[in-house]
Amino acid sequence: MLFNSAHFAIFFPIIFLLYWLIPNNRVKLQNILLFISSYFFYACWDWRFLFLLIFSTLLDYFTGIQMSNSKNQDQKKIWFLISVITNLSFLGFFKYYNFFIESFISLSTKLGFHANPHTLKIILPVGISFYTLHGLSYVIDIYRNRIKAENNFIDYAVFVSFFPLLVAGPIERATHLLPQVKSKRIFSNSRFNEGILQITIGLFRKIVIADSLAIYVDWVYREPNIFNSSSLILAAIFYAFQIYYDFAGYSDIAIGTGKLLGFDLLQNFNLPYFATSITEFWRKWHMSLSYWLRDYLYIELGGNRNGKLKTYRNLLLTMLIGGLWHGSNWTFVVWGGLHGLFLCIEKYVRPNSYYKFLKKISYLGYIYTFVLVAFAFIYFRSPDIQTANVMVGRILSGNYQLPIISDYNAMLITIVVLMIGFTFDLYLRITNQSIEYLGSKIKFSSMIILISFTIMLMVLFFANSTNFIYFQF
Amino acid sequence: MNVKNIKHVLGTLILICSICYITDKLFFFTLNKISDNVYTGLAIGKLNHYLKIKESKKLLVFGSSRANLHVDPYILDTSSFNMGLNARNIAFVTTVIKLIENKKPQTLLIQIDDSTLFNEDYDGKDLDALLVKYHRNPLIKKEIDKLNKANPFLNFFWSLSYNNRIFGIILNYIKPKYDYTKYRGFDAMEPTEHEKEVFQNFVKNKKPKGCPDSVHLNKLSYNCFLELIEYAKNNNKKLIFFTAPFYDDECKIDNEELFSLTKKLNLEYFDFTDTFRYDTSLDNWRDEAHLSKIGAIKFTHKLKEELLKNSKNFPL
Repeated sequence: MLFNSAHFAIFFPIIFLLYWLIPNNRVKLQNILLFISSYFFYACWDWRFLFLLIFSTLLDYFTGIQMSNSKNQDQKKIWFLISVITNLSFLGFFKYYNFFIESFISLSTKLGFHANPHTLKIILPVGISFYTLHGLSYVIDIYRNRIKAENNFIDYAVFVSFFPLLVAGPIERATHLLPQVKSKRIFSNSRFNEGILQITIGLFRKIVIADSLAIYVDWVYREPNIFNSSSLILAAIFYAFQIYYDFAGYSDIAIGTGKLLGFDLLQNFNLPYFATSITEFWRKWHMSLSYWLRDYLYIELGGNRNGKLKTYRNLLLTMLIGGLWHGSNWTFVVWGGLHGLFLCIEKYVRPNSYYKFLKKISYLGYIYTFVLVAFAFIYFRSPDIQTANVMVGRILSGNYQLPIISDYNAMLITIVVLMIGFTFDLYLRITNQSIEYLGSKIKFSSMIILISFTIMLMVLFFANSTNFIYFQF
Repeated sequence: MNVKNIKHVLGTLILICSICYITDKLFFFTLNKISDNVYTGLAIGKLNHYLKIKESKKLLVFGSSRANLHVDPYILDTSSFNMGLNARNIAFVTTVIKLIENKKPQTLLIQIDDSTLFNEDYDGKDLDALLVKYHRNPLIKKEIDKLNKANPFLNFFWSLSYNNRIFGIILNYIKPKYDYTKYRGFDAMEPTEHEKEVFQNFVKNKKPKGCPDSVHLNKLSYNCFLELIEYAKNNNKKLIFFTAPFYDDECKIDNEELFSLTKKLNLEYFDFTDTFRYDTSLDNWRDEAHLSKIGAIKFTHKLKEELLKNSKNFPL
């Protein structure tokens, strides 16, 4: 059940009505409804994977309680390791088994050996990367004594499987979401306004901007070796915007849906293309993941506490693992590695006056950041390393004639809707507003007009819907 | 949720729906006014042009880009029009043919793609090109609804019909791309240097794809054939089907199957898939499925020659 499908348009209003019609907003009943609806939502993708979700939830719920009840640190550690290893094993098996086997075969062949281990036909359970991180953050927080274990199974299950964020985040923390699950939610008109405005803008970002950009991007990436350098550069720029509007659009719908149910979910994007450095970019891009990686991986590895060299190592490792988290392909590892490298370089040159100069003239920083991000995304988008290398090679080949365009009408629409999206982001930037709270900050009449205008733009310009990019992860 | 909240939610939603409904109708009727005067471009112009001349021409050509780019109708008959459109197949062709209301004798030359006819997934999606007339032509509405190809929101948002066409329509309204009174619907183009290079690379690196053991006619396509036969019988139309040239077509099973089907249905069918098998000049081609202008002119002459020789009463 996609957020931009007719099914969701029927499913959500029913849940919304039932949820708020519960007398006195009784939390227990509301949570039971959220639990059932979240599992139904997940079963709509593939009911077989429901068992995996239930198992993962039960595992962390049970080990969490055991950790809290442990009499000594060793016992606690054992339960902690059981949870972490089991979680990672499931993720590893479903997401990375074939990747590692195929990489092993390829390496053996290159070294002159003939290995023949079996690959399996494994379907990636939707959302596994996201709910595994939910579970992991929960057990790590208990292990680090940041929170206490949750004793109510339904409450914990709602934290893991809350349907707005079940399949592609934002990646929530137990410290942030569990208290909201346990406390009474009050309907407020301002939160309702914020929610519907954010959902509408999210839909526009996805089905109009991202899907329009996808037309040219998909066309070029299908056979990059027949395009000139300018077309490839245009496709790389378009993809950087496509993935932003696709995932930010998804996050807007998720956060807006959460708001309509009385929840404040973590912000996931904060105008990342207005970052003046890669370091700042990662504070604005897929924030729920980047902060997760910072808190549960980078800092756990030692962060910047053990000297410069170890800081660089930790940064690189964090970004490589972050890259691999996205998918079982070397392209993601390279993408993560590139970002790790950029971050290390920035850390190294930060005291330098040139860097300070760049920070002062912010528009240069925007361009610098965007170019590096768009470049790294070439690896992210390409089906394999060879294709990405072809892209990069042909971009640098100097064939800078006019870009090849097959459908001028589609291109015109793409550019216009991209400009609308970018102008809106610029407005948010200039007025220093966040999309999460825009609905309650502007006048009611302005909000109504903005929503109606956005809906009409969707009617006139929506492109054929493709799946959300991050659903594959 | 208290009464105030319920009032707020309902009030907000009703307000948004009302504004959208009114704005939508304003857009729809304005765009109707504009688009009715557009006769150029593919967004709506060619369809409008066709609707204007369909009753008066003796010969009409239908099909996909492989009709549009391959057949110069003027060579076949001076009273003719090529209604071929990119990515349009048998469902679209059947509907636009059924829009012809007269019972005068006319020749309908229909290009068919075996790749679509034998594609089990083909569901008539190409009918979406007619959505632009969904609320204005009962026959088009009926055909689109029959195949369930209308967006469920189309009943509320009428201007969804114009989805992604606005710029094409407005630009052609402000500045028509060509003089439509001289346009015959034939859009063959010389390949660009880039296209030539791509095609040469394709030929150089072409590897056999392999052929299926059997092919099955798509049910929708079969129904379209039956509807066309029925329509032609009741309206004095002569149907001629053909397949257009394809570069180095490997598989013949679909051609054979199509041949036996048309024989069974007693239809006139000409297979030109291999017309350029012995004329190996790459100048004839833009890509493996489309001819260049040179190739298209050659092909149309060949088509005419073949029709004059083997088609009963051609031209009518």
